[in-house]
Amino acid sequence: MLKKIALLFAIMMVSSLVISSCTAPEPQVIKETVEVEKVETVEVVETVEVEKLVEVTAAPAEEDRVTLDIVINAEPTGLEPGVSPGGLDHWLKEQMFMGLTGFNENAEVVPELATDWSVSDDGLTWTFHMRDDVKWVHLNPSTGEFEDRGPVTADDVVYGIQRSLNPTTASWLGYKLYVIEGAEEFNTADPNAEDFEALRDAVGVKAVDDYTVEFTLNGPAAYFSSILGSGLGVPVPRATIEEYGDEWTEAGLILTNGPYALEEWIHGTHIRLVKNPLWVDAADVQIEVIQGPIIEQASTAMAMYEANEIDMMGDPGHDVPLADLDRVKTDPQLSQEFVNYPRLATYYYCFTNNKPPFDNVLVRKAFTAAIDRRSLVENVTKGNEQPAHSLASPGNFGNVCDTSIGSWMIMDDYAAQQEQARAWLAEAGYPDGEGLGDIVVLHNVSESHAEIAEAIQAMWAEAFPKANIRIESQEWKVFLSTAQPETPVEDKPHILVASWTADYPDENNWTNVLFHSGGDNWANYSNPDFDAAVEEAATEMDPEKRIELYRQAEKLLIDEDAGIAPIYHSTYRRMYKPWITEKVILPTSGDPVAEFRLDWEAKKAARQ
Amino acid sequence: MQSVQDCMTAHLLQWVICHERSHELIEDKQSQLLRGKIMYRYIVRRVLFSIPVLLALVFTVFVLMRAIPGGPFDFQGARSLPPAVVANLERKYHTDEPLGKQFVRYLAGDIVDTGDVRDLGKGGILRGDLGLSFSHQRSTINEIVARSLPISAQLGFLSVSLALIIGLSLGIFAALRQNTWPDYVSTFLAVVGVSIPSLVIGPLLQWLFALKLNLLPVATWGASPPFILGFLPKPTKEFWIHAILPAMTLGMSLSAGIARLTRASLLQVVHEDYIRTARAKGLRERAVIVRHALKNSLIPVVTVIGPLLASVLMGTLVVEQIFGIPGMGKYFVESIGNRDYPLIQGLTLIYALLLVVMNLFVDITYVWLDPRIRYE
Repeated sequence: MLKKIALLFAIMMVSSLVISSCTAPEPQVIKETVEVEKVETVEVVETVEVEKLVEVTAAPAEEDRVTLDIVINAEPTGLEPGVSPGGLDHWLKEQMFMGLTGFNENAEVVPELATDWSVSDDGLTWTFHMRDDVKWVHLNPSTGEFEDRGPVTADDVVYGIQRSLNPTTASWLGYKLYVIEGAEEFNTADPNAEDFEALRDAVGVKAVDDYTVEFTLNGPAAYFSSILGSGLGVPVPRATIEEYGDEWTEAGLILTNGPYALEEWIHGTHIRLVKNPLWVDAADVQIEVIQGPIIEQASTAMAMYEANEIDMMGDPGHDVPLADLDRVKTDPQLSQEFVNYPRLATYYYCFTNNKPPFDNVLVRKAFTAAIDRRSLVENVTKGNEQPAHSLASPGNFGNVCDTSIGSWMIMDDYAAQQEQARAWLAEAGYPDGEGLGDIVVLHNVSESHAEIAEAIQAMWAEAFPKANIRIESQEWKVFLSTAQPETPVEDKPHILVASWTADYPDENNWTNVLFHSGGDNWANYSNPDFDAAVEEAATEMDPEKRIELYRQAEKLLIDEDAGIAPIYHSTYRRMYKPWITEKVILPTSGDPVAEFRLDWEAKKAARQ
Repeated sequence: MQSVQDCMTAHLLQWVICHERSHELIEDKQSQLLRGKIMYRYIVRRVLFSIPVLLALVFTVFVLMRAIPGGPFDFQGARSLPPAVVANLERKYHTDEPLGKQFVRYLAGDIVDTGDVRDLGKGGILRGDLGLSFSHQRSTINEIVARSLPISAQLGFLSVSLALIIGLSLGIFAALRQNTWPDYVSTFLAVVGVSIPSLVIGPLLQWLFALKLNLLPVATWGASPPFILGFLPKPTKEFWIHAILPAMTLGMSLSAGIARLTRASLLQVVHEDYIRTARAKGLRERAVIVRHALKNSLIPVVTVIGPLLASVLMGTLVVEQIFGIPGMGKYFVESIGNRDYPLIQGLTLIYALLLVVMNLFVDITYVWLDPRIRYE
């Protein structure tokens, strides 16, 4: 019996070999009917007919595949959407998976797997209509065969949400979905409880039909489509996950639905993605392979770039190292390849708002105004960063980066600004900084934080000659513990060095998440009017009203209370080889390589 | 196990015998056998003694790591995780249990509550299972070690070999021409080698051989799992061209120390009485140096090489980072930063094991190098 089956397999293998070796190099769809004979011990013979669509791509010689060479800056913590954290993982997942929504170059929400969506009048029910032509594909890494494993349906989206929230998955990201009804209850449930299944089914997401999925939220949240674009609520293949468990993201097991599929993942060493020929817009994808080693040192990546071993500096690898910036900018060739793009990130100093003498708004204003942001950006950070005078960076919905806010910290004449700072400090009762006591600025251990802090310390020392300002640093996790709002005020420093990159491009992810008095508020900032404004904006559905509310909130935080000192909005410092002829750069990261174009002949010539 | 021990005894006996012959000492067969037996007992004793040491080490690291402020699941990026998420993660990795139970679980595995062990990563270190990593969700620690230790060991072994070749020849060369200009030159080279860190040599070699001369690749390692016998690379051209620069970087800094040590030690030995005796009885200079002086002068070198080899085989953070080599060095630093308790515990345990083995090896080598050393 066994022999029979083995023989059958052997014949299948040989025939598929023959087929694949006979076909022309271009992909071709073959419909084959496989008859499997299963003989049971009771001698009942049943014939199972399986119909499979198999895409046989006779793998062309390695060097003939149009390849984008990159480096990856760390071993991914995991490649399952909605489970593992990390910006790098996000970049890779964006190449392999389609979520309901995505972002464009202006960080606006655009449809991806969803064709369109509607929101009920009360803002609680969101209905997404999905495209019906996206397939799950499986790539066999040893043969290069792609197999169609059926359409991506609404049920896969529901399963993805449930998996992110399931406490046994222990996802790091599930809590970001708490805006969905029943999500928090399920995520915090005891897996052994009797009502566990009921809690899962009570989560406010359901498949209305195969291609329509409906979410019910706890309260109106205009930014919900934005959350779904940030790598959450991505469909995942139920059957595969139920079969392999957490292992399912390994090459050879994983099913994906995006432009690229995982061909090889040698842990800690190397990752290779290849073009998915069954993807909806596969005809428009030019780059066939994305591959790279895991390189943790930015300077090593830079050397590889200069030796033409990789094609770009930037996500998912490293930005151009600060130490190389001056050389890059003055080199005639390298300066041509160097580009800056805005990121959704702001660098700022957090005052501990209830620690004397920084419980005095005039002191906070004085320290904020005494920073010469333009000089700092030009001489220290050098990445064409934009001097910041509000919290959320350009590109975030509701940002207030015009001169209506914080203009006093970004005057054209720095001398006048410094004079103003001195006047404020004198008014607060500390002329020239006398009587302030020891002022501690705390950052986590990092050379760039230290450089910036030293520059700012010098600016403060110049403006307030009698102030005694000390810079201290702590190891990352110790620093984070110190920064928590629960830390007793006497153990907190006067000033914390902070930066924030948006999870999703909406002011809610800035003002509400960072400085609501009941939240993860490092500054111990507390203003009931501010809280009220951000709470109202979070549940308001009218975009115009939201923008107005966020303007109020930022005005309170920055102009009235000077709760923090914004310093600059960060940029990507990237380089692309001239043979990358077209590219699409997203402020949210996860640039779609599917839309890149690469002059393969030029690249090969350069690498000779 | 028995056969391995027998094999080792046989080897030791052979060493002893060879050594005795070469020194033309007269001892009867019985006392040779006696020495072998004593040696064998010595080794067994040393191995047994190392067990409590290792256990104490495991316990110390276990306690010390948990004493550092901040836990493995406190934060995601810069933000604290909601308590419910932390609770889910703690349940998954059992960090919500009392410390005593955690320690027993670490030693014995999930057997503490289920009575059996199902998955890899839950077997406990007593069965050779180092557990699950907190920060590398896709890997057990055994997998991490199995893929990164061989690479670090390959690089380490190449570097130490290179360091021995360069260091010994430079040291001997200098010692034999003491206070002449070749001595000064090689001493100068050694001082330079010791003082320039690989942080500088590495990028310099990269710049020269990869960027300017375009001869060798900038970074990455030329071999990846699966390895032959679990640790040997396939000796392809790919492997060698990737290995040259990192092995040179690491080897050069190691060789400098070896050269200085060899020189000093050899100088001391050549002034001893038994060397004069050897010369007096008319042996050729070459025989005096190679057979009598050199062998004896290697004792300090071997003493250093043992622990050095252990540390280099475990991976060197700097060289591995500069050349993007997926070795084990980075996990030492990263696991502490991430508060990845099982990972750092596992790595220190392996390091300690390697140190024990190397030191034992060093002690055995002494007997071969110097007939006066005996273990009773």
